[in-house]
Amino acid sequence: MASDRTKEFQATVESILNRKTVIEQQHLLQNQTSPRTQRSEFANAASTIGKEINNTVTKLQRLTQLAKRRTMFDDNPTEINDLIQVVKQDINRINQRIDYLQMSSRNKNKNSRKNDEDNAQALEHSKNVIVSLQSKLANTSNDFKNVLEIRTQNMREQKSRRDQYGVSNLSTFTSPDLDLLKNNPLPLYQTAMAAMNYPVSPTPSSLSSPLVSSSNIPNTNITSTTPNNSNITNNIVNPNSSNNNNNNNSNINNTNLNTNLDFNSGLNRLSTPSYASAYNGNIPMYQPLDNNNTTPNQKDSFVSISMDEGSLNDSLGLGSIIGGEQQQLLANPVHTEYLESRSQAIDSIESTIAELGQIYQHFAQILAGQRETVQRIDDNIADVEMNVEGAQTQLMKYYNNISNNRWLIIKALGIVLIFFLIFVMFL
Amino acid sequence: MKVYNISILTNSAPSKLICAEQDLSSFGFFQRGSVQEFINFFSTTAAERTQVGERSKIEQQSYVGYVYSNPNGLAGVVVTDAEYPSRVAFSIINKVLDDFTLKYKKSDWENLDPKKRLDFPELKTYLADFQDPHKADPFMKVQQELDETKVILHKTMDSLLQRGEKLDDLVTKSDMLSSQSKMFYKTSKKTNSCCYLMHIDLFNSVFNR
Repeated sequence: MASDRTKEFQATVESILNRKTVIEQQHLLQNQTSPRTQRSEFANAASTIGKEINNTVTKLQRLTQLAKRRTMFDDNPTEINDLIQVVKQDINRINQRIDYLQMSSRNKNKNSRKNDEDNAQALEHSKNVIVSLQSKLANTSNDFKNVLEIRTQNMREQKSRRDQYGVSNLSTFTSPDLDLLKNNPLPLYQTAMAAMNYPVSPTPSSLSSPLVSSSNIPNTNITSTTPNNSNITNNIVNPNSSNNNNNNNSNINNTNLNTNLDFNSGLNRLSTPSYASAYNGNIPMYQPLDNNNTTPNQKDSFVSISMDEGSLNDSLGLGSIIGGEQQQLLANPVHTEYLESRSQAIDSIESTIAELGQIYQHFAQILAGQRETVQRIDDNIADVEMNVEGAQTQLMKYYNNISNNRWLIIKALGIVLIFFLIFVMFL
Repeated sequence: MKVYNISILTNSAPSKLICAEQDLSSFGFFQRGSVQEFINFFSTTAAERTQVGERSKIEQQSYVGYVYSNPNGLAGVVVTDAEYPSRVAFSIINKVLDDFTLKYKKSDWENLDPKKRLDFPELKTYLADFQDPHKADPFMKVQQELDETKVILHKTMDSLLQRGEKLDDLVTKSDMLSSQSKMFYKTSKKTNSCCYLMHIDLFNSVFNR
C-alpha cells in the first residue's frame, strides 16, 4: 500500500529536529555555565576512575582464579607475579587519581564562590562520588589482600607437599643459603647479604604514595593520622573513619600499617620476574621466616604477616626457580642426588677458595712484618758502616801519629845515644 | 674407574642409535661382542624409557648406566663401572649432547636410518679423555687445581717462615756487629787521644818493637 506518507515523514523529521534543538540548547546552556563544565570534567574523571576500578576488578578475578588452583604442577608463578604487580600498580594509580580528583574538586569549590546553594550541592555530590569510588577501591584492595593470603597458603601447602616427595630437593636450593647465613662466616655471602639488606629498607618508603601529601586536607576520608608510613591498603580500608576514630584506632592502624608495609615490601621483592634476582631477594627474608618460627623477635607485631611474607618470598622464589616442568623431576632421587652432588662440589670449591684467600692474607701479614725486620737489619748495617769508617779514620790518625812519633823517638834515642857515647868517652 | 661407552640416541619411542663409542679393552676378547650387544640394547631401552628432562642411573652387575634425556629429543647414555662418580657421568652426557647439538641440526638426525650412524669423531677423543674423571668434570678440574694451588701456597708459607727466621738471625748478627764496631770506634778514638794512657800505649808499642 504505497500511500503517500511524505507528510508524516516530514512531520516526524521536524519533530526530531525540534527535539534535537532542545537538546542542543541544553548542551549550550551547559557549556555556557562554567561550574557545570567543571562538574562534567569531574564526572569524566570519576567515570574514568570507575572504569579503571572495573578493569582492576577483572584482573583481580583472574588472579583469584589462578591463585585458587591447587595443583602442584601447571603453576605459572611468573604470570601470577606479573598480575600481582599489575594489580598493585593499578590500585596505586587509582588511589592517586582519586586523591587528585578530590583535591582539584576542593580547590575549585574554594575558588569559585558563586552560588552557595549550588556549591553546597555540588560539593556534596562530588564528595559522594569520591566516597563511592574510594569504597569500591577499598573493596578491591581487600579482595586483593585475600587473594594474596590464599596464594601464600597454597604456596605453603605446595612446599609441604614437595617436602614430602623429596626431602633433599629443597635443601639443594635452600640449605646452601641457610648454612651460609647461619654457620659459615664466608665473606662472599656476608657481603652479598649486606648488599641485599639495603634494598629492603627503602622500599617501604617508596610505597608511601602521595597519600602523605594529601594528609593536609582536613576531614578527608583517605588520610590517616600517621603521616610517616601511610599505606595504600590500610588507608583505603578505612575510608569512612573520621579523624576522631583514627585517634583511637591509631595504634591498631600503626601495627596494621607496618604489617601491611612488610607485606607490600615483600610483594615488591617478588615483583622481579627474573629467577636470579628473586632468588637473591629471598636470602635476607629467609632469616625472618626462621626466626619467627623458632623465637619471637622484637617485631612481634609483624609476626603474622611477615611469616607470610617470608614464606611467600621463599616459596615464590622457589617456584620461580623450579618452574613448572621441573617440579616433577624433583621426585626423581637420581636427579636430586645429582643436584646435591653438584651443590656439594660447588660448596667445596667455594670453601677452598676462601681458605686460599685466608692463606694469602696470612702470607701478606707475615711479609709485612718481615719488611720491618729487614729495615731494622738495614739500619744496623748502616750503623756498622758508620762506626767502622769512623774507627778507620781514627786509626789512620793514630797511625800517622805513631809514624810521626817514631821519628821523634828515633831522634830522642839518637840524642840519648850521643849522650851515652859522650859519657862512655869521658869515663 | 673406566668409562665403557658413550652413546647418543633419540629419545622417541623406537629409539635409534645416532652414534656411540666404546672402550671395551678391559674385557676379554671373546666377551667383547656380547658386552657390546648388551650395551647397545641397554642404551636403546633406557633412552626409550626415560622421560624427557629426566636423569636416571641404572646399576647392573658390574656396570652402571647413566641416562639423560634432552628436551630436544636426544638422549645420552654413558656406561661406566661402579666407581665412576655419577655427577661426572652426567656432566659428560651434558657436554656430549651440547657438542652434538652444535654440530648437527635436528633435521640431520631426526629421520635417521636405524642402521646408519652419524659421524662424531670427538666422541672418541672424549671417551679416551674421560677415562680420568678429573678431566671430564669442570668442578673436579677446578677443585684439583685449587688443591694444587693450596699445596704450593703451603710450601710458600713454609719458605716464608724460614725466611723470617733467617731475617731474625740477621738482625741479631747485625746488632752485634754494630755494637762491636762501636766499641772498635771508641777504642780507636781513645788511642788517638793525647792522654797519659796513650803515652803508656806509645811506650808499650815502642818497647814491644
